[in-house]
Amino acid sequence: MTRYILGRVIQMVPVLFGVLLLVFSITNIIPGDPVLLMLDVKYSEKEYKEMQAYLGLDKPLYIQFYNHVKGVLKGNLGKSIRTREPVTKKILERFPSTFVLALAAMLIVVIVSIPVGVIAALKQNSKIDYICMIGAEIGISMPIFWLGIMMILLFSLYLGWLPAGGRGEPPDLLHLIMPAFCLATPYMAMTARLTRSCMLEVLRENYIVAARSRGFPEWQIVLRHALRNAMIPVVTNLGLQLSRLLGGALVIEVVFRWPGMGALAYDAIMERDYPVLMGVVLIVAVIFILVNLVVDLSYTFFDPRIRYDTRKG
Amino acid sequence: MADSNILEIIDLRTHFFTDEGVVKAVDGVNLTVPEGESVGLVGESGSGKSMTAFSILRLIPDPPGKIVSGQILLRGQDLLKLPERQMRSIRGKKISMIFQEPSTSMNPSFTIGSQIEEAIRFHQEGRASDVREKALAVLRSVKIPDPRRILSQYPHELSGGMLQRVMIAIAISCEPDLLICDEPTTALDVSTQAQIITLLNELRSQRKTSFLFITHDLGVLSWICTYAAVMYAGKIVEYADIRSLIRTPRHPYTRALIGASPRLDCDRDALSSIPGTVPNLIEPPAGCRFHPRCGRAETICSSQTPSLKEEERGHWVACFTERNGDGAENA
Ligand SMILES: Nc1ncnc2c1ncn2[C@@H]1O[C@H](COP(=O)(O)OP(=O)(O)O)[C@@H](O)[C@H]1O
Ligand SMILES: [Mg+2]
Repeated sequence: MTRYILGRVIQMVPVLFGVLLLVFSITNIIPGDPVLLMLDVKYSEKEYKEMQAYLGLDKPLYIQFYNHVKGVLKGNLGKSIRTREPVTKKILERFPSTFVLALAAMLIVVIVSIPVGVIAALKQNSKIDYICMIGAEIGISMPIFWLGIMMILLFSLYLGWLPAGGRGEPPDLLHLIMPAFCLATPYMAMTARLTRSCMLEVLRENYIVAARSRGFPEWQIVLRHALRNAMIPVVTNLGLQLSRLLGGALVIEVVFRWPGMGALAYDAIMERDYPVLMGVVLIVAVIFILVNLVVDLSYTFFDPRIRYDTRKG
Repeated sequence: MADSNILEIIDLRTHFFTDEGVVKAVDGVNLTVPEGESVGLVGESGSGKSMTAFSILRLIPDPPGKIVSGQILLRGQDLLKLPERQMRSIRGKKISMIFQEPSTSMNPSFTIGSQIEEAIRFHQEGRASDVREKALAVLRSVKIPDPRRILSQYPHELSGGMLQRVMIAIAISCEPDLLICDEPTTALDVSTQAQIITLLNELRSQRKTSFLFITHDLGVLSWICTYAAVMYAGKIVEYADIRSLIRTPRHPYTRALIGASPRLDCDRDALSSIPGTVPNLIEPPAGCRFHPRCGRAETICSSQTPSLKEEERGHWVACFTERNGDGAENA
């Protein structure tokens, strides 16, 4: 197992290098000159040169990239062009917000959709089943930013029940409800549908009939014999979705002014604060890769047929 | 027939209500398993053998399946009338079943030990250490080498033959009165097949368990069974003790089955060499369901359905051309 993890960590190196290169290229391709943003509307050639040198943007691109990579290896993500604060500090300030948002959404997904999917499967073709599945269909087809805006209109502006944005001072649950639900919606829908179909499939398996032939009560068949096997593809999918959910969180943060890394990246783009943007993207990429690793490892818990250290598969 | 029957199936009908129509998988089956005997149920694939067995334990997937009518008497008690709760105390305790494909019949997510112990714990009280001892004992009784190691292994780590032994171990762990075997050796290779049959034969003589043994292999049938029923398209067409069935088969279908296998003991796939195919069970042929494939069919065969009649003592046949005792001429 440790060898497997080590291998995966080593694989991260080229991926992260690629990410660095890509982000660096993009920041240099998109229009907008950070030097101009730092200067007065009227500036002299000399002022421009000085500012460029101050920001380290006067050197050739490959030197800039080399310096950037060198900094990253030392754990130094550079300084914000705008505020001159270390990028690491900015990200560390924002990371907990994103984490809390994603975690809350994931919890909602798991707590709501797995029972819903199981019940829909057990009551296949009943009214409950139809209601659940139509709900899921709607949940999947709504873009989350639109849903977010509609929720703000309804719950904040019209009903006045929930705050429209921010995290609260100090952060509270009330501010978390809407963004988390909004972020969770498509994943809830997808997961409920998948849970249902996996349950239906597993319930037709021979070992379920065999378990029934031993006289076990229905709850034992469902909860012990069926659910665990049905969860294998669901957990796989949740794992795959976890990265996408993080991506969705970045969007939701902008809609709800949730002070996380998404909002930070958004502001960085708007202000052409490239070091901050590159830092956020790099950290997000690292998080994606780590999340996927943890998800892969968690399969072994659910499916004993996968054992990374004894088998190749 | 013997004076006491452990199982008596009377006019059982199990139908599947599908979009294409009603599949009459089991359509008026009569079958008895005498106490302590081993009754074979033989027939081509798709003739309704498994669904007959599943009906006994009320394991028919519903929807689309339903037991529409009939009686299934276990020592006189009609299982079809029992509430589900009581039925659960029959399953695995009074009647156990082993299945055709051992590799898909064990839950892949649990160790062998936890699956055996689950069954033992469910049907009888006992301390945890007793349960483990019982599991080891039952694994030993099916001749599994190194049972202690097997307990902690997962199904995918065992061979098909080993898994079938484990399935048998689970099935006999609560000492059932009746063991239903649904083609337990079909998925196994020949030598493993022989070992499993030998094991089942030993268990039967030691434990006085009655067997309902489903197979499409006449060699296996004559090896393990004392009685045999021949099933065709949802109906039993012949029932007799194994000797008279093999030596003097009366139904043309049984004769075709036996005729198609040159040597009983090496027969593999005799049933596929009978001309024609098993009829569609949604709209089966009128009259005797075998008549389109039967060389001796008369006009009556296509209009009326023959019922199972005791043509000789203990030898039941459902065929018009076999009436009036002219069986000898064709034997
Ligand atoms: N779930 C089901 N839905 C529809 N038809 C079914 C279902 N299960 C079995 N059948 C039908 O029942 C018939 C008998 O099947 P089965 O008892 O498994 O045959 P055997 O065991 O003799 O090979 C087959 O024609 C099959 O198509
Ligand atoms: Mg079958």
